Amino acid sequence: MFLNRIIIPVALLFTSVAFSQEEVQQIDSIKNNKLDEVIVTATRTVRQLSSVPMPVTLISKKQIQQSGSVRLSDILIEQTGITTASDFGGFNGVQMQGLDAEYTLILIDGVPLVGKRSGNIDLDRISVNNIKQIEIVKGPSSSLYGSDAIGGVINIITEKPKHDVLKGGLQFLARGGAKNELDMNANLVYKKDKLGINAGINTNSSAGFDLSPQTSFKTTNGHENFTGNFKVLYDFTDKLKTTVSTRFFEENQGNLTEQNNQKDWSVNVDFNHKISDKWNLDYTFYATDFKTKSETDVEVSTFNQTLIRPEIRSQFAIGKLNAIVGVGASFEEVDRSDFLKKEKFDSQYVFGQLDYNPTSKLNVIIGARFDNHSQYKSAFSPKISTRYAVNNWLAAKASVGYGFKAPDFRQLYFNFRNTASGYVVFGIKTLHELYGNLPEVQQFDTDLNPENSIGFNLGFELKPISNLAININVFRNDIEDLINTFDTQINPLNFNLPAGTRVFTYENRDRVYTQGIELDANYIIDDNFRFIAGYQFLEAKDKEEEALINSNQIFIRRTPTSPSEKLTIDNYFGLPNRSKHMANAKLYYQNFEHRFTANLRAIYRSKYALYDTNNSQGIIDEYDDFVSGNITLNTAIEKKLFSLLKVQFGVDNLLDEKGESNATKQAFLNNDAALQLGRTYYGRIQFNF
Amino acid sequence: MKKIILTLAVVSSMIFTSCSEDDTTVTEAVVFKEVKNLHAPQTTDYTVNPPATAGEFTKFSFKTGAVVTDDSWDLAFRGTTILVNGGVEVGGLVDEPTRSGDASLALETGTFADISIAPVAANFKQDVAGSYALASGSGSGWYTYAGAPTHAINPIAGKIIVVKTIDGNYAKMEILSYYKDQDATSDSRYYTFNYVYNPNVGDKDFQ
Repeated sequence: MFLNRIIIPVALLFTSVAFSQEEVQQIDSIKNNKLDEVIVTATRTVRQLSSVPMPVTLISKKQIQQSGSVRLSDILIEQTGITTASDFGGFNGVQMQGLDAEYTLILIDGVPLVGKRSGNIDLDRISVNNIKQIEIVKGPSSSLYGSDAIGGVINIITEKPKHDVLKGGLQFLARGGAKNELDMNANLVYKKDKLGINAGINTNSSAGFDLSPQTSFKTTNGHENFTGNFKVLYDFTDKLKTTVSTRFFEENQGNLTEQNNQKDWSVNVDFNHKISDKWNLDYTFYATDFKTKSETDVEVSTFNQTLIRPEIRSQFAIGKLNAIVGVGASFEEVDRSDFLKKEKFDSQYVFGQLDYNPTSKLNVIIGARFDNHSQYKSAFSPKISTRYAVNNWLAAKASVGYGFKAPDFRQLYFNFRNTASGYVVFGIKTLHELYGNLPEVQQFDTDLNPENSIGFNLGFELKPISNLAININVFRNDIEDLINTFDTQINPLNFNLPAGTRVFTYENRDRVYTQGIELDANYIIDDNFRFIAGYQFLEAKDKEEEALINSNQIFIRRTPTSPSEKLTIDNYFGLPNRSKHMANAKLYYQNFEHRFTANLRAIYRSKYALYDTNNSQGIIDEYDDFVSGNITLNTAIEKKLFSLLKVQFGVDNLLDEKGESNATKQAFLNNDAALQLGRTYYGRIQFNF
Repeated sequence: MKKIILTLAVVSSMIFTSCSEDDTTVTEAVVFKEVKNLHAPQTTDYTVNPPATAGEFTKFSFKTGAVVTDDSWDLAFRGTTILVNGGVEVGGLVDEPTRSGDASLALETGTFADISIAPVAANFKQDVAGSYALASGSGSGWYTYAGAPTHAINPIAGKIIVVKTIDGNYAKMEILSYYKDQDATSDSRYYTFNYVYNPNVGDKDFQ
């Protein structure tokens, strides 16, 4: 069916590329990669990775390929301080600096992905095919990017040919074991004179998997998806260049009783006008749409979100000062089941940033952004970052910035009625629109504040010897005005709802903090071996919960039916899904003579809670049941054959760590979230020219 | 030496006087008891929307410390719902018993031992039309509902129900389990709870 539609164009592309082979030198040395390490996400200007005053992680295409990664989550989970967690919708989202997925902004070539249906952007939506690199900036970045950039920004950079080139590739990956998967790619990058093209398609399918076969539902249902990217670059003159990028994604996932369809597309048009060597302008127009449809025998629910964002940026240099200013607007619409009507958000924003190098050793960046919004209170987000190179082996960097997250459409417009289960949830606007005449409703605010944070990062870069680099970063994020649901306690008869129905709405209440330390080491042992290791210590706690515990309001049971006892602050664990310790260690081997590479990657996370299991009002303490700490060991070997072919074989979760001991805990009975996917094997054939 | 003897004499006379004061008011000691597996069944018809729940409430009297079938009940249990024999019918419930008494209850926070005296009158509530004295629903009353896949009902730690009975006596109770023999894998709707009942009318002391 839909795979057929894909295979034919793949075949066509294959035949066309087969005839247009051209010798392109492939250089595989580490040194060469080093020179190329520039990033754009931290400052929205091209900067050398090593000079950026914020904590940054760069994932190269080479690393993605060597790790056998297929979807974005595969590679992110192997990075220091990053893990993933599922939301209510089962979508896998990223956790960074101890913050949930909704507080990390995900961009593709600088423009945001939309589609947080129940909190998370689904990381499995994004194929790593056609990616040049992934740039991760940790800490608040709302001063440049606006909403959602509290924990940081993940920017997926796709390839943009700069010089005349014709290259392409075909790739086929098949996986078996605990889960099966098929992933196919075809890519073409072309540039000649004024015209450049980057095209890619990817299909990914799996029959899904079931971690607890004794339950009637599968952990993950089977799926088929298709991603298409097409980018055209055209240089009108040396000074006026344009890039038009489009992306399309469609996925069908389901079983016999439930079918889910997701579709998203986007188009981004950029005109870059170089007025002089020191002044250039970017005009961008971005439009995207994300749609889902879930069908069961009894109901169909839909979700449709559209975002249109024009933006103008200007960048200029005056002496030691590099400045960027931007102005833009967002027009956003969401139409979904459980809303009264189609809802609209309009916002306008302006931002500016000064990047100043008073001496060759000191760099200071000051930036700020103002977001004005039609449906919630406005946000002002300043940030200051600085880096000082003490000497040639030590640099210190520090940054402090504001971050914010706009209330989402649900929190404002939900009209969700589950009277059969005895509850309804109203967005704050819907509550006032429907029942604003009730005095009990009038006591609630008609507006929500954006959730907002202050984040601090203090880091050191050390290069004690030429082949060893160490990065240390200490962070703290204080987030306020977190939006929670709460029981209004209003008599349901006032809403014409059945007796006993509970009416929920949203409020700004919680205050949380996350803090920790992150260590990264990169050691080039010799020409063949390279060792990378990372560690994060994390504390993520709720200040309201701490206050409740300190005022002796929280009680626990040591066993499910033992009498209540007071919880002391020493036994408070913090937020769910957070591991205190996370670590990774990766060994890469490269053999130039026989042209093969091999690697072994270990990822560890210490115990974490899923939820409160001993009825202490949702608070997680040391007496709760935890998902035990675990190690995932992955390995891959890749061999280059002839000049065009690469063959890879890999094993993920080599130790077959499934977390089965967790399933024996009463609280986690039949809960797939406490289990891990077992061992899988994959083989990949890559044909590059 | 004389001083010490004098002090001892004063102290002992104080003790004796206070003892004799106690002897004048006859108070009965509080009763501590554990109730195991109080069965509170219900039936639910899922063929209609919203599903209709029915069944006789299981009525409990603190005075007798047992299940009763007449009007002498203080609390009535069915599924996770707990009614108090005071106020008026909540309404919308099938088989809801009429309120014959003037009992009320307060949901207090603390350990069972810490709640040593009944709270002020303002904390006590009765059932009213549309709303329970003991709030129903996960997290707002005495229990939480874990949802899929365990669907477990667990009593919230530190929630103590203080009851002013139909006779004006005070009792405090802590629900420990909603499952038969306190085994979460066993049948539900079996209450196990500890209670302390003060047999002296109007006496708020639980010690």
